[in-house]
Amino acid sequence: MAEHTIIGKSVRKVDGIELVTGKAKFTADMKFPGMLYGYELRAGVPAGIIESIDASEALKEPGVHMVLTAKDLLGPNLIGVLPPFDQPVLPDREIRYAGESIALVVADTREGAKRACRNIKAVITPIEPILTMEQALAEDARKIHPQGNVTFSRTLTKGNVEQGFAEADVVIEGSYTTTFQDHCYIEPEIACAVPSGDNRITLYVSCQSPFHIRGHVAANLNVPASKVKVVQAYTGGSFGGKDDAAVEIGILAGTAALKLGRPVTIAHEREESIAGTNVRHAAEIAYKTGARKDGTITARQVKVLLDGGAYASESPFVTMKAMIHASGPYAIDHIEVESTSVYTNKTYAGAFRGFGVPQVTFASESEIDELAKHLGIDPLELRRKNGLKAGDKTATSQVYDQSVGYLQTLDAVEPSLRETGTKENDGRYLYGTGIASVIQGISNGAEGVDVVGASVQMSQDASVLVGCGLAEMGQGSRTVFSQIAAEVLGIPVDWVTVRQVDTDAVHDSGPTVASRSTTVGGMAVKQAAETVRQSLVKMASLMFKTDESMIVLKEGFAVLTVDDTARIPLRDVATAAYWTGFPLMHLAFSQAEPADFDHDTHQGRVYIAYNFGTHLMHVKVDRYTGEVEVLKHVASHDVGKVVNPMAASGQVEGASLIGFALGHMEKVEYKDGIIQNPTFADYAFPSIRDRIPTETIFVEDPTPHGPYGAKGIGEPPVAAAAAAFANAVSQAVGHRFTHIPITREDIAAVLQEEV
Amino acid sequence: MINTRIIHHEFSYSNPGTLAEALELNNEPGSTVLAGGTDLINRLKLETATPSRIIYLAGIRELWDFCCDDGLKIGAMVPMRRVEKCRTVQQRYPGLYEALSSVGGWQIRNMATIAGNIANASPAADSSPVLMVCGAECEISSMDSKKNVLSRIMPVADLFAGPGKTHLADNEIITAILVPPLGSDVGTAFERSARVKLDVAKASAAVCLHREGTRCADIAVAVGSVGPVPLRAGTVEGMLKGAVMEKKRIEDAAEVIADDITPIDDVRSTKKYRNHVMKILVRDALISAWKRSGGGELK
Repeated sequence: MAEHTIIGKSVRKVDGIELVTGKAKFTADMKFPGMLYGYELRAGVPAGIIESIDASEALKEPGVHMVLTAKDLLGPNLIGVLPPFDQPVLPDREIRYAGESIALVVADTREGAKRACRNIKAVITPIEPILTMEQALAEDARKIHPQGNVTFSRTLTKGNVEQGFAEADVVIEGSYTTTFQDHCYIEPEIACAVPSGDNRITLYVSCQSPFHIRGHVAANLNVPASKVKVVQAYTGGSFGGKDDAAVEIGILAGTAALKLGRPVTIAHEREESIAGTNVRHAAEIAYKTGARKDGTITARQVKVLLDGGAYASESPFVTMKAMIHASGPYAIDHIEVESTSVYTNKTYAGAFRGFGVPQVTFASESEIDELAKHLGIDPLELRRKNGLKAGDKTATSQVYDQSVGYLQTLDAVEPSLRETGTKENDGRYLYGTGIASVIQGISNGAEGVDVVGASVQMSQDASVLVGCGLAEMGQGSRTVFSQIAAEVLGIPVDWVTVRQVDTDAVHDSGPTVASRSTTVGGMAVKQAAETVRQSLVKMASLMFKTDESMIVLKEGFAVLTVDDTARIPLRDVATAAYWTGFPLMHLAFSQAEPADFDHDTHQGRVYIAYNFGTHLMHVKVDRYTGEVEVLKHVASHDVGKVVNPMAASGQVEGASLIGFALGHMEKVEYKDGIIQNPTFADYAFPSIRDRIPTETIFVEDPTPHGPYGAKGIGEPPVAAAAAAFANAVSQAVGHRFTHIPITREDIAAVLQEEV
Repeated sequence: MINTRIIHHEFSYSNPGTLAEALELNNEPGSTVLAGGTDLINRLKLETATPSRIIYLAGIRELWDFCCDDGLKIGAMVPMRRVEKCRTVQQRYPGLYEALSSVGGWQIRNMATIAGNIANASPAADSSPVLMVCGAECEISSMDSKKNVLSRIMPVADLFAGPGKTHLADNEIITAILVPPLGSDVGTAFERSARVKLDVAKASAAVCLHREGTRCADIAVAVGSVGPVPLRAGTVEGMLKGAVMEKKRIEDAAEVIADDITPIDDVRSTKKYRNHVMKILVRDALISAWKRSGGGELK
């Protein structure tokens, strides 16, 4: 393989300095002359009918400019991810969750807008809310949406599970549940709409899918998409959580801005972020697994129920993803997975790092450990025996002839099994070890076309501007794109700037989701850079009066292959190329190989690649208090090729912490359809002081579909960390926990009953 | 603009330079004082505090005084972090050190004050139980209608009237916390349980133990987050006062903590767990305090 100078090296985040010094301007830092502020009035009841909304008192307050309700909106008042859309921007009649916005007040100040909200008289007739999936699926249940309470339901069928169970010596069954989790990004959702004299409107917004927002905002402002410009401001985390909300507040701010002819900002409070916008689906999952005595898994039958809350949002895709991943990274001949998402009168669930995979992985990996116990086989050996290899058929019967590094991830963590450290043995502490594996599809795959457009533009001084429609939201795509452009063009990383996403200036690249930035986005940057490189090489060959094959670009120079001292600075080459008329900018498209599968059985080609991983955790459990300390956490993932070890490890550490928190502490608590802990005072999630000692071991089994063989890493560790935590604690306590989070209270309750 | 919770409630704001000015302003009904603000600001955001006037105490020089020569005198504006970093506190009042260092993160402790922590009267306040067991007192000031400055001293243990409520009169301000000197045969300890490091305690326990040989000559135990106010654990104390200290006796004493507390279910924990974990926290604090009082390994 070719030697790389920048790919594979730990390059610091290219936008790190401005972020930590406060120079980066977030949407909340933006001020425009005459700017007004919007604040949303929320329903407060989980289900009800809006009889009337009287804003006359609120409008009398000084500084209040406008109150918007459903009837004031300019477009179809309909948003969502997948048609037919089911979510109003502001409901005109039926309220489907307590955090739903029903009106927007626009005032001189945020404080004034919030105060005025209190003086809006909304008459709402409450209706009996549907708060559990069981209630929603009851035969005589009230329909939350006209088509019923099933949001989306699909079944994956591979082989014949009846036959598979008949071949089994052992069949075990288990039921598992998980809870809602909030994204908890540091920056709540925010959008600022600025109208301009040319009848356009610019939205500065914290988001991850700018073109998705542009489309919805234009449709709901009833203007052509080309009249809307979306600029992604620096984004303080998103993890899947910002797009629905950005669409909602983008439309509201845009509507108010158009009507008033003034800039309008809407910034959510934390409570609005937790109670008003999407969360991770809670799940009820039933597994049945059959195996021969030697450990060969013959069949898995899974039933997944996902509580999607009031609106569909990403539920259909999450339902699909959970279904495709439910059987785990194992080669199993007979699989049947029925996956269903359900409407309830709770905050809608949508995208969240992992996207349905953490829920099923926790359940699946718990069950694999139970099977191992049942068969008397070591849990790691059982996984190894069944693990997918190149040439095996996945759950969708897709065969990869390379980049299936699952078994190597087992090998990577295996030595750490024995590194348990010293154990205090005064009877107070229980020790346990858990491993868990994950498979996670990279790219949109079955969720739709996957195209990224990226431009690379070299200036005459040889500095480079990269534009791509994918958003930097902390995951490091700017850094990775810089590295790729620098590698191809033979320049230092700091000669490259990756511009912010502005829908006027970059190509629609779809949503920034599915761990696809490095893989699909990186490929587009690489292709665009390669085309620019051709101009440089051609120019240099004219300048050297030699063949193009004699030229390499490195360290900012065109260099002769035969004489390392024969160098022309690239700025001279670029300048000459410009004056000669060679193009120095290129827009390239990378399209992932489209999915192609049977829509009844879901057999076929689904993802361009999978990330495989195995996590190992050693835990120490305080027998008396139920307190858990993670003593060691080893996370191994097959990422194809590591573009930036430091950034990739950072992704593994961050995603693992979210997974650990999902496994141990985080839960959105409801009482009568109202969230009880919508603030950071009441919602427990880890801070830097609670971080776990993650060590990352990368496996590199390259994929032909990613740049330099790279596959995404942003999401997969969430699932594996949550599942490994559950397995470790279950082993330490000697009790199978079938619900996450497994809190201290849960652990202490089990241990007390033992005593 | 910062996109966090909006304080939409309107109020007047004063920044007096002397205690007398602050006390005079504080005679106005509906006024409240601001020290570190780590609690008041949240209450303003949550609208559990809706003062008509906020009096910021930072301009009053004497409230920044911190003296640790003979006991501790901690002015109302002294940040927790300064007390926590004091070597005398670390060495002589380890229980207080443990309590302070478990409050939030550094950023919070660089702002938060002990006076504010107790005046807020949260049953979960980390410093309250330990101040109670150490016999700490509040120095309290007010101004009468003739503009005379009045002062009085009240034990911290007598301060709490209910969740968020103290026995301070509306016009009174805590100006300092006084902690008596502790002898070398006195041990203090603090234990807490919380969901994450930066969370309010779901249960906490503080112990101050005076050792005489192998006996516990005097003992105070106080617990937090398990009742409407921080509570003294009289039943536990009764089983240990004057007793020869043994592991079994400590465990037995910790078991009866349930008689002294009235925990509830909330988002942080359950009544059941609090009843259970409190035994462990009390036990661990007792053992730790005993060791710090110079008592050897327990049999």
